[in-house]
Amino acid sequence: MRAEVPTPVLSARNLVKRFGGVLAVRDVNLDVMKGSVHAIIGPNGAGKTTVFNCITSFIPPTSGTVHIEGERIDGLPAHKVAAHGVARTYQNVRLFAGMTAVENVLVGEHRRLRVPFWEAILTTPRFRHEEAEARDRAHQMLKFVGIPDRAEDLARSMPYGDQRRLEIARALATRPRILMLDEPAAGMNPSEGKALVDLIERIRSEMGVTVLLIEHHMKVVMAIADRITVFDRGAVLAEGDPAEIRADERVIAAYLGARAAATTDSREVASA
Amino acid sequence: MSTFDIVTSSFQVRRRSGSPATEAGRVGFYTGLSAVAFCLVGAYVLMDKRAVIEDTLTLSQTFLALTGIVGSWFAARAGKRSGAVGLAPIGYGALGGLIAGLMLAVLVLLVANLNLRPVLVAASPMLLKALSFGAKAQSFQGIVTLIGLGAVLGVLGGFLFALPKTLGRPLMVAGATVIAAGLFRDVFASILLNIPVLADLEPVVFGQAGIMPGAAIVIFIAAAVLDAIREKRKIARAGRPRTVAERRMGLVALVAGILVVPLITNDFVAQVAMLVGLYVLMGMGLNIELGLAGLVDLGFVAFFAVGAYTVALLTSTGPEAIAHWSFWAALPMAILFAAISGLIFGLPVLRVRGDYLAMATLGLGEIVRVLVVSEAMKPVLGGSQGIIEIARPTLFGHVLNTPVELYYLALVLAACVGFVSWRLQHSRTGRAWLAIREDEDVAQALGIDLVAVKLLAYTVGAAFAGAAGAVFAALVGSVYPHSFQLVISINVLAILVIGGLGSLPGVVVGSLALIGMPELLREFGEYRYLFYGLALVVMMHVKAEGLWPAASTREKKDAR
Repeated sequence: MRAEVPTPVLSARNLVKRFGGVLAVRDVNLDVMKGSVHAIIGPNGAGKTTVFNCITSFIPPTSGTVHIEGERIDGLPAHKVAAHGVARTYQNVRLFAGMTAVENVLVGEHRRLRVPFWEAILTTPRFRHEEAEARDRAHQMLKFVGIPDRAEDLARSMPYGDQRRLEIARALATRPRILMLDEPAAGMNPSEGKALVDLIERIRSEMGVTVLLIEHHMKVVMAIADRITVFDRGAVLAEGDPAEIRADERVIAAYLGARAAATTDSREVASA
Repeated sequence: MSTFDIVTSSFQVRRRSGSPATEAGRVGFYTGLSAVAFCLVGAYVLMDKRAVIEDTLTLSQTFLALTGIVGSWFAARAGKRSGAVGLAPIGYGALGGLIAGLMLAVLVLLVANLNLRPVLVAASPMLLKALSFGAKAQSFQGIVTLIGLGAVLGVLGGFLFALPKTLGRPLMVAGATVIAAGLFRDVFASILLNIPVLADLEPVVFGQAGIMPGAAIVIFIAAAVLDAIREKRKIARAGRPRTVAERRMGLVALVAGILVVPLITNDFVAQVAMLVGLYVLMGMGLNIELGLAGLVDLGFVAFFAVGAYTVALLTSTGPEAIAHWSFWAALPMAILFAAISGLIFGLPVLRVRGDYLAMATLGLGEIVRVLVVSEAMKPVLGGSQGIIEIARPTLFGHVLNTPVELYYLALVLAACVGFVSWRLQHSRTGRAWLAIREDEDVAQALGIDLVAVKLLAYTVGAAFAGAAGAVFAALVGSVYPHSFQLVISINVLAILVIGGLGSLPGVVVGSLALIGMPELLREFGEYRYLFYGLALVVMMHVKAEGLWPAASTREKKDAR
């Protein structure tokens, strides 16, 4: 694992998002350190996904700033945010259903391919070379996330778990600095959850990508997060490492509730 | 039915079915209803003038017979589905046919005894005469013939249903072949006439309007045998999927047909082929916008008009001309101007999506047409008088003015445009188009610049339409504003939908089906559009992904 440098990759300051009269995100500050796996947890409707959407310019924040490695990205269109190295997945998988797995990943490479369209028409050697390389990389990426033999399958005909992996591969193909995963373990069984934990660990260690994830599965969160931010009703309730969060009474009251008390030794659970 | 089944079949609400007899009767009733409607809209009398099998079967009789057979086929199926076993479905088919025949008989009696003409113009003595099949009009014999015919067709339909698939299919294919040979008599007859060895066969095989009865029987048997052999082979393959080479066969046949047919037929067919070629060009343009990038465009005809008017202004010898260039110099300019207009067109609608996009482009397209007819532009574009005396293209001193030559001009352009589309489709740009079609927001979040990608789609699509417009101007020799109606945009849209969105062979097949066939079936007259509409509705129910769907809408992509 690479040494942790104490500089934030992503830094959101005083983020506010108002939908009409509803304050979905209120004054959120969030620092995601380089090389870390940072989890956001919180009850439903706490504003976790809205924060994701504000960071990736899916929706503009009402006020506040977002910086990626010191460069301001709030207010930029979504494709420029992507160019700053922000990639994400979605709570309900949003693949290009009518395209094959490898094509989905190739769309992720879009920004990195440079040869203009007229060279594609003329099929210049430069185009063929770049295209072959891109396909190679895409296949490697599919192998990395563990679905190498799905390359020519249509995204919509793949099983759910593989779709989630493909979505991660597509996001990684953009060579992000920070990968934002929105409930990657949703709908997964324990063994799939464990495989996901391994994958996230490898994304951090082998690819050197910082990971920010929203997750409800506490086993997954406790197993991989270096740092956890707890949201409640649009605001940050607490932040700390897993041990601190587990011990925080406000968190237990707001989110973990009686279930946390029941699973007394979460450390054991986490290592399972 | 378990709860799960109910939930998963929520959009296929199933009617509670009655006894086999009621079900078959219901289908028979619908069959009769469509036959009666066919007579009452006036199509029967009109189409009765054209023979499909010479002196034996007219077009409307063919249609009526097909309705009867298909209807009773479904009646037999309905009977079987609600519990009939063994050979009983044949009986239910007959029942369906009988009911349809009865309904026609009732129609004949009503028309004969009541004066329906003030309301239903087509309920005429001519209809009575046509429906009596040679017997004395309104005679008892005529009525019985009608009912009996219904029952016979019913037995036939039921029989076809009851036959095992290996036997039933060849019979259906054979029947379809004979009807097609009769319907497209002109095409096939001119092919025979143009091949010296076969020229003597022409009077034997074809009559004045249709196919000769003897030849029909020979063709029927030959087609049935060939299809039976095909079925046999399919069984021998035992479910093994066809190899790539076998699947390519269809494509090769299509290309060969496209290349050769206009040469060995007559000028009329070549002219139709030329028109099909123009629509293929436009279809490929809209395929970029709609098929790949998912951008609905109902103002597409505007680019076609820009291309046509550019060529007109640059090559005409009329008063509006601004230059007297050759067609070949004007063609790139036409493509360029169309592309620029596509770019300009794209700008205001960039942020509009879905249904709103359709409306916005519809408006923009109309603006172009209205501008052309307007008084303000009249000195430049000739107003509603249009621009005439457009020079024909010349090639090495030879003037291209026969339909066949102009067809090949359109074909060469279509091939170029097809190649460009195909290359773009399999590049970064094409993938970006597909991505924004599938999910615009996600595509943008992956770093795709929506503005650039959409504008490129509009520009390339418009350029293709501009090429089509240029050929159109050269073909017709004159351009008028009324050649650029909204209906052309809609036709191109329908071609894409029928052929299969995003599929290049689909564009060709769609143009053949929607432009070529109706042109060749002029006997249908104004009813062409009735059948056109019906075909669209049926198509959307039966095969919504198109006649030749793009790989992405098929189950699995072929391994490359």
